Amino acid sequence: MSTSPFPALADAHQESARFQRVYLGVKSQISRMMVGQDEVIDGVMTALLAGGHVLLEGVPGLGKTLLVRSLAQAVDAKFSRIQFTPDMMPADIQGTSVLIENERGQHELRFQEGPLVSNLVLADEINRATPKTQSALLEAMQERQISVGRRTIKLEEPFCVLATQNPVEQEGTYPLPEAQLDRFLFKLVVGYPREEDYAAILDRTTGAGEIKIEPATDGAEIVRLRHVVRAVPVPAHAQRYAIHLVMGTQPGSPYAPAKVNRAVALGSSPRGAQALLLAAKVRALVQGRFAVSVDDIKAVALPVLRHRVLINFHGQSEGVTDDAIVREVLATVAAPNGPQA
Amino acid sequence: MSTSSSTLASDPSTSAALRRDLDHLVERGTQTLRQAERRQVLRQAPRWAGWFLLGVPGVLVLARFFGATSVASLPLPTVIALTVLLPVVAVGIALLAVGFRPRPARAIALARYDDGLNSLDRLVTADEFLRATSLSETSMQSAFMQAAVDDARATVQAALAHTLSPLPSPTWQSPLGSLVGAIGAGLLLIVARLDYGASSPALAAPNLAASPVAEVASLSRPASPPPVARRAARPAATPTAPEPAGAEDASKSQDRATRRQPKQEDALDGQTGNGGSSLARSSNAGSQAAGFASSQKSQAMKRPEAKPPAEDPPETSASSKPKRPPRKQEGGPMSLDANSGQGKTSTSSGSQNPFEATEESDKTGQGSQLDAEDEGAEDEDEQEKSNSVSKPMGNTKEPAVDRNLSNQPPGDDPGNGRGGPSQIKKTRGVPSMILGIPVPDRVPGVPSPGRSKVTQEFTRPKEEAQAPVAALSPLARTGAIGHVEQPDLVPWRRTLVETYFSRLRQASEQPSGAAGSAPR
Repeated sequence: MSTSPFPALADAHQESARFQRVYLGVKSQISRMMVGQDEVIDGVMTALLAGGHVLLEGVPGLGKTLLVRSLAQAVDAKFSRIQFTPDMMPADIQGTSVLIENERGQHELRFQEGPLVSNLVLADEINRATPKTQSALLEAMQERQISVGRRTIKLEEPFCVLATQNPVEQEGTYPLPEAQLDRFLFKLVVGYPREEDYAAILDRTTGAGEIKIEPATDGAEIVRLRHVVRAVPVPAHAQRYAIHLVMGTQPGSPYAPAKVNRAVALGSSPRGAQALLLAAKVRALVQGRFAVSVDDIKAVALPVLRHRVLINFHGQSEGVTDDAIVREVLATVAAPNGPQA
Repeated sequence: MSTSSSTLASDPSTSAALRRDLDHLVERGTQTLRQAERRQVLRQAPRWAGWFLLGVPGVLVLARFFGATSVASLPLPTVIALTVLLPVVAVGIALLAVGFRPRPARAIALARYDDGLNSLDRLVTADEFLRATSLSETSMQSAFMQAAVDDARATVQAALAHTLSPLPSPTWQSPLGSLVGAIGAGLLLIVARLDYGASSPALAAPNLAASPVAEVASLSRPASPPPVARRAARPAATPTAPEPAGAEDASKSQDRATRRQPKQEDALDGQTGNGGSSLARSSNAGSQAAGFASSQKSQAMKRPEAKPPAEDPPETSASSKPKRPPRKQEGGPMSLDANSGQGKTSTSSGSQNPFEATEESDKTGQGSQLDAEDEGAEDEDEQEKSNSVSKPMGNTKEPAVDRNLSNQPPGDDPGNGRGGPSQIKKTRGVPSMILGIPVPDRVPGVPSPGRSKVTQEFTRPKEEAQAPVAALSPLARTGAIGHVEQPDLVPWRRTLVETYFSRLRQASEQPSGAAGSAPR
């Protein structure tokens, strides 16, 4: 066995099978509560297993909060919900030191953890909080820790922030800064359900029966599967394609189409390329493959790159959307080994 | 599947077989890519191969030019065959050159099978992982890479049984280049064949000299001197030419010749034949020429004592002064010029029909030359008038007023914007072009600025005595001060102060016995 160039072959197959089993189990549990929205569920699951965070955007009443709550129940992890308001302060989500009386009757300051110290954090209507409070999430999302005073608290894995925002009501909101948007692996747009899904939604939500979601996995399993995701290899041509895609969103780069040069002020950062490969790895595993393909990268490019592109005034005046930019880049940038290569 | 695959993949012999299969697929994929490249070359050939048709005819023309008669005298069928053969050879070389191009990457060749089988890059990925293993001579680090190679085994077998569909052929290019090349080749061939006789001097010179056509051409062609000789002969020819048009006009033209020698030379450059026309003529030269011809005729009849131009050198030398002579000194000829410039005809002398005179002058071919000359003089005069500073007052023929509101500038110089005897020009640039010139005030109905009355009175100030005011010593206020607002006081304090003072007033109004009970 030592001379074999392929050691530990069975592990990859087993891990892949286990990954698919957990993935499908959690998804089936969520699907008991959620009707339709398969792409959104896949996106949330992919982000959770890739170790990223998700920004859900949609009008009220589409089940964004229900989806996250269902995910927390299916994963059997600590779940907390923060309803962001304009008067919320960073201490309200991180925690603060409070004066308490101990057993001996003495008073002392003790740190009281905020709702951010959890596994799955639902940041509802995140754009209603002030930038000061929004920035309190930056360290937690990137470093997986929070600093309060002289205290630094390591957040427990898996840690995943699922934020929602309403694209319509912009009065009294604070748009997320680019630094914070860049920390979200996916931006998923929750659309209206299809006609055939309405009947199932009404039956499940207005009937007498109560749907109970059983945990399909736990936090430790999610952490382990995240390591499996990291082990998926990326061929050189797929990596090159991801790089070309990210550079294609940057105006002035050799891969940027004319539309990007004209309508984009800011393109994706290298963090976008990281997100592309991580999400593509999850997709390859879900589909039972052991390496990333160009198709995987194409499939996850839209939710990964759409919030990392900043449209300039020229593009805004022309009505250019970030989705249109990403689609243009996908249509323009050729695959390394494709017929156009 | 996983167990069997692992067994197969763990065997180095099976991995070597997999490499061989992948190499075979790469060869097949490369062949299809080469075929596609050759097809592309072939389809693009109509665009560029036609230019090679020009090769052989071009060589023939050059050979004739340089006198290589052995090459130039090739028979026509041979020339045509070589002409057609050259593009064919060029296309063949281009097709052969495809084989010498660098081989396409292995990944591109395998990607053809991945695309055909829709195998999601399994072959490319497996080939890359396998080659990475062979190159590094170490075992594959990742179990997932190993699994990916194993996963591609079934795809490799399917690819071996798969026949690649040919790549979509490029469209035929427009044969416009070939058409142009063919037409050019035909023209070159014609040129080469026609030029053959002329290029051999031994044959061409006697033929041309002896041919009746050349004889006729030599007789009909005027013996024109070379351009340099013509240019040298111009000053002598110019004053002697216009004899039939009148001696006075000739002297006038000679007088102007000293001033406008270059212009005349330019006009002569445009002459053809006997100088009957000039390229420098203006569009209304015909009508002006008619009028001028009649004037010339009448003046010639009126003044027979006019000297011929050859006898007038003193005037010419006197006119070498740079300053232009005054208009009055120009006399009759200038007035004639004015008439002729305006197209007017003077028929008081009862001369012949002006049209006949024009015909005569046209026949001689010299009247029109004079016309052009005098028209040039007229144009120059008009241009000088328009450029002069007297333009604002052009209707009255008076110079513009200067800064001193004087429309009679000192000396004979017209108004030049210098505003006085000093030589410093005070209006320059754009301000001198706009209506910044002072205009004298005019009283309506009076042809002058009118009168202005100035009255001066001389008075001396008168002294007036005034009693000094006695100073008063300041006294204390005795009356009431009135209501004073206390906006800064809070209500309870204002009430307290008000109550205090009211009680104080009440206490002061009461008998003196109660004065001791002042409020506190």
